[in-house]
Amino acid sequence: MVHPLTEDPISLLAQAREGDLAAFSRLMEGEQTRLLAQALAFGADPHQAQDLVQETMIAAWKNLHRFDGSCRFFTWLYVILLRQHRRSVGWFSRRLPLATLEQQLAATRQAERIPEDHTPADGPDAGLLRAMLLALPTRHREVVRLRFYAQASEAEIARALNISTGTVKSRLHHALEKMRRMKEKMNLLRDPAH
Amino acid sequence: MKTSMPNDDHAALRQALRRDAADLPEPSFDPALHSSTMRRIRALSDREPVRHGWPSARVGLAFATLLILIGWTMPRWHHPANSAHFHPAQTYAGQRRGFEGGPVNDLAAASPAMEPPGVGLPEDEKAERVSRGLNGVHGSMFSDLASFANQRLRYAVLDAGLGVEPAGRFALDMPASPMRLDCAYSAIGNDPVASLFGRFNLNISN
Repeated sequence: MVHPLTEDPISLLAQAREGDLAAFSRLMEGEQTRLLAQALAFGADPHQAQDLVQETMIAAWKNLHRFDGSCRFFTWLYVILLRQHRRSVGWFSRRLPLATLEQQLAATRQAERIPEDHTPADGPDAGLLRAMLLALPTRHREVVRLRFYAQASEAEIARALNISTGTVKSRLHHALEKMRRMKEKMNLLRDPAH
Repeated sequence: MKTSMPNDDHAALRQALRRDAADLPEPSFDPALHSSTMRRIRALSDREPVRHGWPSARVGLAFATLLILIGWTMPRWHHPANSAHFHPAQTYAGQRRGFEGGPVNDLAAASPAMEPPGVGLPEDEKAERVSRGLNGVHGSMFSDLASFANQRLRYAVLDAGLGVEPAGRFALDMPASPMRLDCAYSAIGNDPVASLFGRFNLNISN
């Protein structure tokens, strides 16, 4: 039986789970831009970002029966996007040593045309933040991205990654602590007298 | 090691991360990307329909294959005839008697091409051994390892097509042809654990 398509994401999701491809298509129309924005934030170029989104959508269709509604649909998609990204970059998805952090930062600044001496008044700038994120171990990076970029709650992240909430909190804390230390070292590198 | 908790720095980082996430530019909808993706998904669905109601078909298949493989290999390790008739106490009792009875042949150390036990012994000693039901005893310790080796040896002898006594001793029930003996020795010689640590009794009836 073919249901008439509705705009309600929950109904669309239910229809898609029954194998309705048109409903899935409509559902993904609403998520494509957010996924693309996140893929670009991973540091991918536009073509890579499009490939990532395409692979994510295909994987989502194949695994839609596994989505149990315990987290938001976008959080679930975001986890797939993270894993597709990790797979696509392969070995290079491993954490970068601090020595390359400066190069990474310089590359980001150049790509975004940020002046070399630019330092915001409060907290690190976006270039440094993303460079530090790349230098984190994958398990920490994933939690930070889900928490702040996908705006998922700790409980939601726990369900999406199939880990305990305590583990999410612990990973988040360690990730922030590592980023803080990286920031300190970067400050020392930039200004040894500091 | 205790980790320091500079909450202010963490709060600043959290704030910066939230700001960066909020500042992410959202690209406009790409209809070409969407249609090409849906085309790929449709092609994929036509080729291999997605089984929405039965997610673990592959897992089930793998599990069934594993069960079949286990079922196929189990008889080699748990031979029903052996399990039913294996009485370690009686087996060891015979071996102990063998030890108490003086020096005996070391069959397990033999190569497959070795002579049958008892060859070269005086006739009266040979007769005594046959009457004791012990032709060869090997081993010096009654340990778990030896027990395990003994079982391995039993399977080896069974594989060679030889019988096993209810009492747990390996029997070459009559007549003990050289060919069957060779078979047994080959089986023993091919099993390194049994050769090294096994203890066995061969009851040769002429």
